[in-house]
Amino acid sequence: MYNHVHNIMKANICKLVLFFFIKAILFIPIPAFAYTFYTWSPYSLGSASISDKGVFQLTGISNLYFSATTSASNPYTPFTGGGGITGATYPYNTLNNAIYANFGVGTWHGAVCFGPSGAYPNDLCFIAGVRDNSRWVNYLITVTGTDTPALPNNSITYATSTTCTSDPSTRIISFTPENNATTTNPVPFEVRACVNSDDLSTIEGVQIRLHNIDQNVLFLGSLSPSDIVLLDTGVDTGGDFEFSTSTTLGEGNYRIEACINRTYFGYGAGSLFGYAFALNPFADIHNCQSHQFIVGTSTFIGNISQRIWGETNSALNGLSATSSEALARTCNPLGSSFDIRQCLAFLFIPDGQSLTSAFEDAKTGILTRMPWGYLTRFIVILSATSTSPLPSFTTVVQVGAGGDLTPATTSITMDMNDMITGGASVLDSIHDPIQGKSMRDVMYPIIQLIVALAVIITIIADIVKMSKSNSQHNVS
Amino acid sequence: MIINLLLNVVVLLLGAVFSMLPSVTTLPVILNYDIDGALVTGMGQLRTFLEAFWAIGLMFSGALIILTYFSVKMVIKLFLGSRAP
Repeated sequence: MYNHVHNIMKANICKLVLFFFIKAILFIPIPAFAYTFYTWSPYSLGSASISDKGVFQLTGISNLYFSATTSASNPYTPFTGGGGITGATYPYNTLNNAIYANFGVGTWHGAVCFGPSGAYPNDLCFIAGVRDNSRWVNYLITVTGTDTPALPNNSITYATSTTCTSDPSTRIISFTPENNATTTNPVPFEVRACVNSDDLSTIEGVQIRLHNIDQNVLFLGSLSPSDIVLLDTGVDTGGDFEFSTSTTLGEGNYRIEACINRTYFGYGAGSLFGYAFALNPFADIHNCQSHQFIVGTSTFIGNISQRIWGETNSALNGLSATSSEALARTCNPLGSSFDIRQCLAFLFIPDGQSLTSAFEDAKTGILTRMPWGYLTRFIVILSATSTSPLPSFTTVVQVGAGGDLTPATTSITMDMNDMITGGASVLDSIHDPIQGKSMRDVMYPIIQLIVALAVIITIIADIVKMSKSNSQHNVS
Repeated sequence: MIINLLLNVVVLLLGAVFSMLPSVTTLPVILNYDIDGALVTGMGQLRTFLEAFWAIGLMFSGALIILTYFSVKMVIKLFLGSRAP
């Protein structure tokens, strides 16, 4: 009995591990097999006050339609281009279960239509094209302070640059603030990307998220602030993609992530599940980059996500040339920069330059000594990235009469480097006339997929075989 | 600062102890056969080959993943014996 229960438990654990393994490998989100129906919300009239033109957020909402206007009598006027509201992501943005909108100084009337999850809000919040007011909730939004430039202003431009012309592959070229930068308000954001026209059908769009990482100090994920979506837009034009905006942020540590997202299989009306269930494996684009930056005079001290010594140390080095200097400065009780918190931190946080030189000393002084030095040298050779030309063979052939004392000769050379690498570059230079893709561009993701499937099937087959033999062993 | 100090002391002591051993910069030449040169050239040529035949490179990566899986499995079996799943 015990063995039977044990086997069942083991089989279930195996299945669970297998499931998450496949999910991790293939990036397959768990499909939503059932809808979560929300009843029409009994929300009452709400209000929100924002200082200094912040971002108005409604969180924890599954599906909604949002409008805002200066008119109190008709709060259902669509916000796009009206009433001084300078921008929002989408009117029915369900990303992160939150809505984001920006307002100038003044009093605004917003209205939110709460709808069931998974339904297109327009079909539920409007009856025959007329808004069903019973399903809308009004919000009074008061914005005080100084009216600063709008965020996001969605100033997307398509330009032409030599960077994109010389390398037209779809990618994020650059974005600011730079990594580990210290900025002051208003914080400028700028993203430059290249979008290849051939990829327009396989990329979902460009997204920029901003996250305050100060409150991760104690791993309190649930208390961490939500992401702020600065930009979430589809891209329908190839070439240079540029977006810039600026905003005022509170002092602290922030992480900005810029992504070019690829499309999902199964997405759209009439699809198998009604939801996306797998990343498009034929799109070799899922380019995300993130930067961390400081606003004001905050430091990175005490932030969990920066506890990796190198990162922390590089951040601390920003305060001073080395942590030793910083230590001398912050630990002097008579000095003007005395800070017991930083002093303690600098006591234990190693200095990057000293660590690097210590490791270098260890490598040259210890790891290169006989006999383990041979292993170190072997690893260095294996991990190197340099290439060597392939060998060429030359043969000398005698020509003319066989009896000559000094026969004429000629040589034949077989240059493998020219044959193989030259042949490969010739093949790569041939592009199909319609889409302009080389054989490598076309075949690389397909072969990658086949190899990935072969690896997964091999491992799964081995796990299943292992499970079967264990069961038989237990029965016997 | 404290960690720097400890690391420097450890490196200093180990460096002093092992300083009597000869330093190795290249692999040895045995019977006039330059193992270091052969490995450096051979690995460089292999990389050139895999750059040209990128499909073989992909398969090589896949094979490495499978080998890693079986290696991990063998290590688990080595430590857990019959109790290994």
